[in-house]
Amino acid sequence: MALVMVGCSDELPPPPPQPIAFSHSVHIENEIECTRCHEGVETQAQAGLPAMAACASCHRRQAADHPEVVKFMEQYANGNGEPMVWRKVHVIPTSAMVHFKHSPHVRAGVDCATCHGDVGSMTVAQQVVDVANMGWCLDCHREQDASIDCMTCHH
Amino acid sequence: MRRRDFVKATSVAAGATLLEGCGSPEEQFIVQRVRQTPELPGESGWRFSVCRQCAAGCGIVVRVVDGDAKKIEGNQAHPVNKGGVCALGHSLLQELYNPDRILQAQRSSGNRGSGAFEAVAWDDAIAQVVSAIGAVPADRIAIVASDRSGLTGALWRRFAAALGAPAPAFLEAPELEVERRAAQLALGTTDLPYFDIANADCVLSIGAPILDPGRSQVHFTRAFADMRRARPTRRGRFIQAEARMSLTAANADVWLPVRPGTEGVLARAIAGHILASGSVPADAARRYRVLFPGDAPSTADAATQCDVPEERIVAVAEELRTAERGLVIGGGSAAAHSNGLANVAAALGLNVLLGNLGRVGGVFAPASLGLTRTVEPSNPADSPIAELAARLRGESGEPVELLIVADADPVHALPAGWGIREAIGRVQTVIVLSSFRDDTALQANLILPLATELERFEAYESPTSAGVAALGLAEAVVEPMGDGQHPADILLAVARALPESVASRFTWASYEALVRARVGEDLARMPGSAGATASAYLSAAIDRGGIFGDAAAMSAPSGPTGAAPELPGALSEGGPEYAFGLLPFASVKNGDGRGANRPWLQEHPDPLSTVMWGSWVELSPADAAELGIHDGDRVRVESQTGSVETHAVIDPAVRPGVVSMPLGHGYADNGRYAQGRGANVMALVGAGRVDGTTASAWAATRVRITRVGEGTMVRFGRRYEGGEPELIPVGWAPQQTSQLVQIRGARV
Repeated sequence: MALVMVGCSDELPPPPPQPIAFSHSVHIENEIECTRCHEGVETQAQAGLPAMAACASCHRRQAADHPEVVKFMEQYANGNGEPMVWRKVHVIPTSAMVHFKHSPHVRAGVDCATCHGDVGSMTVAQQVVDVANMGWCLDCHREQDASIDCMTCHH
Repeated sequence: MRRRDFVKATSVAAGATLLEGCGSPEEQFIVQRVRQTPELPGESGWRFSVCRQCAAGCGIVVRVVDGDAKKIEGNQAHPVNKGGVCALGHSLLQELYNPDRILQAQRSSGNRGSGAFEAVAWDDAIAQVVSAIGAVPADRIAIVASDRSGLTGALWRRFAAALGAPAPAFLEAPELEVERRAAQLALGTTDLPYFDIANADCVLSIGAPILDPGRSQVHFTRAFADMRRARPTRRGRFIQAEARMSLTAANADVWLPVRPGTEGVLARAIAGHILASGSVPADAARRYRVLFPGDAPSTADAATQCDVPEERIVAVAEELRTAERGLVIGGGSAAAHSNGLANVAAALGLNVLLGNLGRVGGVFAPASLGLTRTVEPSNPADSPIAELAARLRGESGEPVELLIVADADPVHALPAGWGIREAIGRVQTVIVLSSFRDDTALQANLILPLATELERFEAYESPTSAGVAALGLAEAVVEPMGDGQHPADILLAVARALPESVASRFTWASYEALVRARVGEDLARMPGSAGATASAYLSAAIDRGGIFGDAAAMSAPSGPTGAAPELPGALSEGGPEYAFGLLPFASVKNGDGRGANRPWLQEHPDPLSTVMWGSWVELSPADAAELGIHDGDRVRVESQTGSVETHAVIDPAVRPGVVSMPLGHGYADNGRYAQGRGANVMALVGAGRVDGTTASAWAATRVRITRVGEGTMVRFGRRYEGGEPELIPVGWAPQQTSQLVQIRGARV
C-alpha cells in the first residue's frame, strides 16, 4: 500500500526546534497529569494544548523568572494576540489519508508512552517510534485484536 | 489565525527548517491559542452563518478548525433550506480564499477599464467617496445595489433620500419585477407569493425554473421532493411548460415545449377548459373574470399557437381540474418576453379558478418581519434599473456624474442592448463595492472591497419562498481576510463622514447595531418573543441561526385586483435572417456569474449538457444538421445587438428553432478562473422590455448561428481530444498555488 510518508527519511527525526524549551519532565515532576494540559486526549481526536492563558495563570507565580518562562510570558503579554506555534513531534502526513483519533486509543487503555515514549522523563520531547509506519500500527492492532479494516484508520 | 499569519509565524518560530517532502506545512505544526476557545486545536467547531450567494438567503453552518472555515453545510433550522445547500453555497469557501479577491481598497491608476489599480488606505478611500459625493449635485448621483428586500436595501433607500439623490436601483433577475407585478394583479400580493409545492398533488409550472439556480433552488428542490415522496400514498405530479429543457423540465413528469412567448395562451386555454367543465364555483369564476374579463382561447387555438398537441393541453387541464390540490406557478422565461406580464398573470390566475388562495398545497401571501419599517423612507420607490440605464445613456432624467454600485455587476448582467458598458465609461466617477474585478469594477475609479458573509455580521431576511418570515442572523465565523466590510457598514461609514444633515440620519455604529436596534424596537412583533428581553432574544436567535416565523401565521392572498393585459403575440428583436429564438438561462455551474471565478464550479459539469470550464449554446439535432454543425464545434452566435463565439452542444431535447446559452461567462477579468472563459450571453440580448413593466425582455432576442470550425470542449465523462491540456493552478489560499489540478480544456 502506498499510504506511507513520501520523501522522508526512514530514520526517526531529531527533536524539532520549538519556540520555547518546554520540559515535560519538570511538569510531570510537579505532578501535573498529562490530561491537565492535553485535555482532549480521552474524548476527542486531538489531544490538544492548553490556551496560553492557562499556562500564564500558573506561571505568573511559578518559575516566573525562568528564562524560558519569561520568553513565554513576553509572547503572551506582548504578542499582539499571536498564538504560539509549536512543531509537532509526531506527524502522520496528510498524504497518508489517516484520521487518527486519540480518544479510542486512550479509552482502550493504550498508554501514552506506547506511541510517545516516556515523555515524562524527557527534557525535550522527541519521537521514539515511527508513527507513520503503518506496519507498526497494524502489529499493535493485531496484538490488541483491534480492527485492521482499512477504513478504520484511513479516509 | 489566518494561514498567511501561520506561515509567517512558523517561519519565525521554527526558523527556516526543512519541510520539503513531507507534505503541507500545516501538518508539521500545532497552534497554541492565546485564549481558551470552544474547540481544541485541530478540532472542528460548527458556526451558523447566512449564505448570500443568491437572493434566497439560506441558513448555513460552517466547520471551523483553528479559526479557518473548512466546510459549509445547511442549517436544518432555517425554513428556506432546512439543512440543504447548493453548489454555489458550498463554493463560498472559494470566494473566501480566492487568490484574486480584492482585500484592500483600490483606485484606478490608469485608464478606466484598463485594469490598472493601486492600493489605497481604507480611511483615504472612505474620504474619497465622501469627497466625490460632495463634488456633484445630488440629483446627478445614481446608486445601484443588490439587496432589494432586506435592511441593506432599506439603508440604500434612506441614504439616497438623505442625499436628495434619486432612489436607488436594484439589480436582480429581471423577470422578478414581472412576476411581482403579475402576482399583484392576479393574487393581490405586494410581493412574490409563497407556493406550497410540497403539499400539492399536481403542479403546473409555466416557465418557472424552480429547480434551476436563481430563486431558492434548495428550498424548491426540497419542496419538489416532498411533493413526490413525502406522502406514501400519493405521489405528486409535476408538469413544466417551457420552451427549453431546463433542469426543472428535465425533472418533470410532463414537459410541454411550448413555442416561446405563447405560455400565456396555454394558461388561458387551460382556464377556458376548466371554466367550461362547470366544476368551478361561481365565486371563483367571478373573481377570475376580474383578471380576465374576455373569453379564453380554445384548446385547439392554443395548440396551434403553442405548437403543442391539443390532446396534451386538454390532458393537463383535466389533470389540474381533477387534482385534489392542483397548483400553478409561473415566471422565468415566460416572464421575459414582451408579453411576459400577460403570460405570468394568466398562469397565476389559474390558482383563483382552482380555489388555491390560502389553501394547503396552494398559494399564500408573502410574510415578512417588517424590519425595514422606520429605516427606509416613508414612501419608498425604487428607480427601475431601465430608468437608470436611460440616465446613464443621457436619454432621460438627470445625467449621472457619480455612480455608486454596491455588490452588483450591471455591466455584465444587463443586456448589451441597454448600452451600459459604453455609458458607464462616460460617467465622471464610478465607485464600486466589490470583492472582485468584475466587469463593473473594472470601470471603477475606486473599489471598496467587501467581506464575505463568513467574515462579517450578517442579517438577511429571505424573500417569501419559505412561506414564513425568515431572518438569517449570524456573527462572523472567521476573522476577515482583508479590509473588506459589509456593504451596509461601508454605507454607514460614508454617511457618518458626510455633513450633519446626512450623518444625523445614520446614528447606528454598525450594521449589527442597526439590526439589534430594530429587533429590539419591534420585539413584541417578533415570533416567539413573549417574555424575553431583546438581548436574550437576539442571543437565542443567533444561537440557532436566525429568527423564523410560525407557519400558523400564513395568510391567504386577497385575489385579483384588476384586469391583466391582453395577450398580444410576443415581439422578437431580429428579422427573418435571425432564425432562432435565444433563451439565456442560469446553470448550476456559474449561476448568474458569481460562480465563474471558483474552480469547483468551473469544474462542475452542467447537469444537462455536461460541459465544464466554458460556455456553450444548445441547439437541436435538426437545426444543427441544417447548419452543418457538429457537437463541440465552435460557432458564432449573432443578434442585432452583438456577436459571440462559443461551442455547440447538440441536444435532442432542445426544441427546434430555439437555442439556449448559460449566463455568467465571458468576463474580461473577475479573477484567473473566470477571465476569458466562455462568452457572455447578455452581449446578444437587445433593448426590448416587457410590456407594462420596466424589465428586460431577455427571452425576446433572435439570433443566427454559423459554424466557425472544429472546437475543443471539455465535457464530463467524455474523452478530451483537444491536444495539450491546460494546467490550472488551484490553491486553497492565495499563498498556496503549488497544487496543480489538471483540466483538459482550452480557453474558449
